[in-house]
Amino acid sequence: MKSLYRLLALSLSAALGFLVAASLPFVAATSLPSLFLAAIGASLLVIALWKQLDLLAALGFVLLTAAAGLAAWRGSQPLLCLSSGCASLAAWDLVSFGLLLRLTATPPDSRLFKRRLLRLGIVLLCGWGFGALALQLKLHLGFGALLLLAFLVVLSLSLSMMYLRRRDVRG
Amino acid sequence: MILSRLVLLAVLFYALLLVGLGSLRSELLALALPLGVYWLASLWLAPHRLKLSARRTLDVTHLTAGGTVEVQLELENQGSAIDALWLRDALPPGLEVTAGQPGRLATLRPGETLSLVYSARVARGVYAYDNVDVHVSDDFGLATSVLRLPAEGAISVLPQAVRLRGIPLRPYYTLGYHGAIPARRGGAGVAFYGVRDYQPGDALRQVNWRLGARHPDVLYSNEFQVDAAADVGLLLDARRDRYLSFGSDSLFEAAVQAAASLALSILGEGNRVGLLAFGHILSWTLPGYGKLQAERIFQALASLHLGNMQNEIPEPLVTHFFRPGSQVVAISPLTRWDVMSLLRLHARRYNVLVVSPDPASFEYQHLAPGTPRELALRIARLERQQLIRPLRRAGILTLDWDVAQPLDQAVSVLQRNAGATLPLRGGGS
Repeated sequence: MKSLYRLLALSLSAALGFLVAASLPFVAATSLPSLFLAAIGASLLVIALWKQLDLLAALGFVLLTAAAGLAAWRGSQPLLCLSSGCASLAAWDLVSFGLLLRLTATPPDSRLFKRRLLRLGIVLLCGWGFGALALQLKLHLGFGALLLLAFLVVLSLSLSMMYLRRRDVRG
Repeated sequence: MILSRLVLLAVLFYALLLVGLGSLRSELLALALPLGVYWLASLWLAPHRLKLSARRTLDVTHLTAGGTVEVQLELENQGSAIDALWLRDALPPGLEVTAGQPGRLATLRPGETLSLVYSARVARGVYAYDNVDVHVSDDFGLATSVLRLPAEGAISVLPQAVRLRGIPLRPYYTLGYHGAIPARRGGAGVAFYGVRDYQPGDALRQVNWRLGARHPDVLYSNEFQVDAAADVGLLLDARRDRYLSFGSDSLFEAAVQAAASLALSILGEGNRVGLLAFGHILSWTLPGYGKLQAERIFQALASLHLGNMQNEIPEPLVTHFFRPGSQVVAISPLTRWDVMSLLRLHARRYNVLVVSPDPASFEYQHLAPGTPRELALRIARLERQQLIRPLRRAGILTLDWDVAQPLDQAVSVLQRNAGATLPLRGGGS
């Protein structure tokens, strides 16, 4: 569990640090709401793990993502906001894993933990890479093509969600 | 988990996507991408073919209360690889894990077997394991399936019993078989019973020469009391409102142990014993002999629960199962109504022995030391003496059992007291 706590601390620090860095060279008054949201979100994630409340973890993740989105909306450096979003996702995943370990009350299987970390790392790297690529690419699409693309994205993800929900007992 | 992680992720993803598309802000669309990748990775990693089988092994299925049972649960993966599997054995109430863990979070490759071993201390009862729930999910835990696999097993935990010596049983009627209960009739035995006229065929050592000397014309022979087997009915009170309990410690357990010890000891002396328990349901074990009957009674006692279905001692059933003149051993904390019922049974020529676990002394053990406790005990004891007095006046042997004292010691005291008061002669058959 110690390594999990260390990684959680690291990811939360990264999430907050990237947001602060995104607001530099000076932290403007317009950045304060997003920083405030992020701080509350990070605190909620820690409390969620401490008190074993899944709902707080979800709320914390939403706040951290919202803070990154708000910072990006207000013109902060988008790449750093994206990095903060990735770090928030990592923190949420680690808190969820920690809650699962607490719930099962069993010592973690080291093979399971290592593999989860590896896969999380790959997913975050891919996600960050795609995000960074998306920020660099400039495509000129017509309205019809854009609509079709958006429709395809929503359809494919909805189908995947339906598939996963059929498997997910928690709905 | 109350909130599905999948739903939360979907809501966030779509929110960022819609706001990004609506406002034509690429930064927000970029923020949605890591969530989408996480989601798709979860979909990709989700186990597609789930086929698991479970097998449960118990090292013992019959044991006495307070014993330990080792449970082994094996889970074999006959399908595709499972990234995260949470196996948790649902423990029946009354089992307390002493070693190992009843749950495990692990990963399982195809063909691999996961083994879960734990030891549990068990209280009296009959425990049945039915199914085991296995939670299976992808690595990120976005979609979790629950598989219910059959893994049956049953444990019978019998009450603890000690062998009691010298239980003062004096039924009016005994059976024809040799036993250990004074039969109230003359014959081959050890204890002196009486004198009768000499009959041809009597051995010379049977002749009472002293009496013969006083009556020169007649010879007399000594008779010895026959020790025979008898019908004994155990009547166990299982009404909830009669018993106190403090946490897991219940006076009822003492009553059940007393019933088990009495059954074991009385059967061991060759008697025919039946059990009638009333409370939750009417549970009866028809009279029988030997070890098999002891097992039947122990099984009945193991599955016995407290209840409030009956308010009074079922006298008609007692008369139905045990013929008048036989011995009835009632095990109950007693109330005024019970005393009346027992007196009526006594009037019907049942020889009644009452073993009454004392609620006052039981409660005394669980109260904080101090003057109020001592005073309360004195008052409770006076009340109890008043309660029991009619039974003793009617000649019913009553053991007011302080459960802090071992039952065998209490019974030996009862036997000493009974020796002076019990009539040896009666209407024997």
